[in-house]
Amino acid sequence: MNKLLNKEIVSYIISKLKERGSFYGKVQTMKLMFLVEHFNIEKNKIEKNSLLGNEYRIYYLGPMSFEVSEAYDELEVDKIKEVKIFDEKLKEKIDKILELFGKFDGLTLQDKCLEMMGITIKEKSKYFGCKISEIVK
Amino acid sequence: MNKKFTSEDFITFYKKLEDRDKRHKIFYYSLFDGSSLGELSKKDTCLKKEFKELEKGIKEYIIDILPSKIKRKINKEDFIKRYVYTDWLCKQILTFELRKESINCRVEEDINIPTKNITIEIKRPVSGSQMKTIVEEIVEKFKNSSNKFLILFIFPQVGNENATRLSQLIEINYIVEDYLKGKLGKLKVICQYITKDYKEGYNLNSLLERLKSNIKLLEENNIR
Repeated sequence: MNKLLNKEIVSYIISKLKERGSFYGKVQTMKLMFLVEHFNIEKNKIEKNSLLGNEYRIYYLGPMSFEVSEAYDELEVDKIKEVKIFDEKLKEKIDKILELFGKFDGLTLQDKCLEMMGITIKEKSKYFGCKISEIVK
Repeated sequence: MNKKFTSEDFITFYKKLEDRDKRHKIFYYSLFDGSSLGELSKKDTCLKKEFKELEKGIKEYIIDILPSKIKRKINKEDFIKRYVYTDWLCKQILTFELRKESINCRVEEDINIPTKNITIEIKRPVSGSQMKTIVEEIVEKFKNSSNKFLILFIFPQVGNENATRLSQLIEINYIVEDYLKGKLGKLKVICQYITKDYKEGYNLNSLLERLKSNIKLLEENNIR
């Protein structure tokens, strides 16, 4: 996955969340990036297909990508203001994800992501370390 | 990759390790929840630097010493993300060590000692802010079980932390024991700090001693 593109999308998400007054931090941004990657808006479900090519696995805080984590860490989050995404189709998807899920904090999003994959909090440890492609059909 | 890697492959290798320090080191490096460190360490540049060191340590003390027979079966990056950053490896080690002490246990989702109806649940909190969720999830997971529980909160040393001081500080987590007892019944909490190098009181063997004595207390129902 292209780190620059990851940084661009993460920055865009953060800028939009700040605009809405609902930016809660890295865990939240990570889960929103996951939804951009795997959520099919029309079908309202998590899919195996990956939009950006980042690898997500299930860990203690739900779906997590080390590539996205690295991209986030390289940003100066406090200084992010207006960011533009030039790929219209991608922008449309991110905006829709933000409209649907942008109000939730990281832990709520963790629960929602797991729920959409059919994983209860009680069973999540069974899936620790597994790739999304191994869980979702 | 050839045949699929299994827990047996690891145990076969691990049981041949005679060196106490090597065993301890593998155990120490199996204790890091890399995902939580990655997600929660954003503001802490010091922790981020340490995380890079930990990644190096995991490669050096776990991956590099694996025999080529195992290395051929694994993808190194995948192994770390699948078995080290999760609690798979530390559970395998603890189960093996307990079995050596004649405690007949096995790894299912947690470590189970079927003959004594005891479940050992291991948690590796990275930050105090995780504790509320961790405790809520323990209750949710076990609320319908009639087993007895040993809840192990394990804290590996990061950088040059002062072991005695840190060990005192993590004892604050015993505060959850009464709450969990109220929700789940017969239960013991153990908070254990583990240093990078083998150090008296903070090593794999000390932890095993504590596990053994607490298992005995639970078995005899000799708990408050």
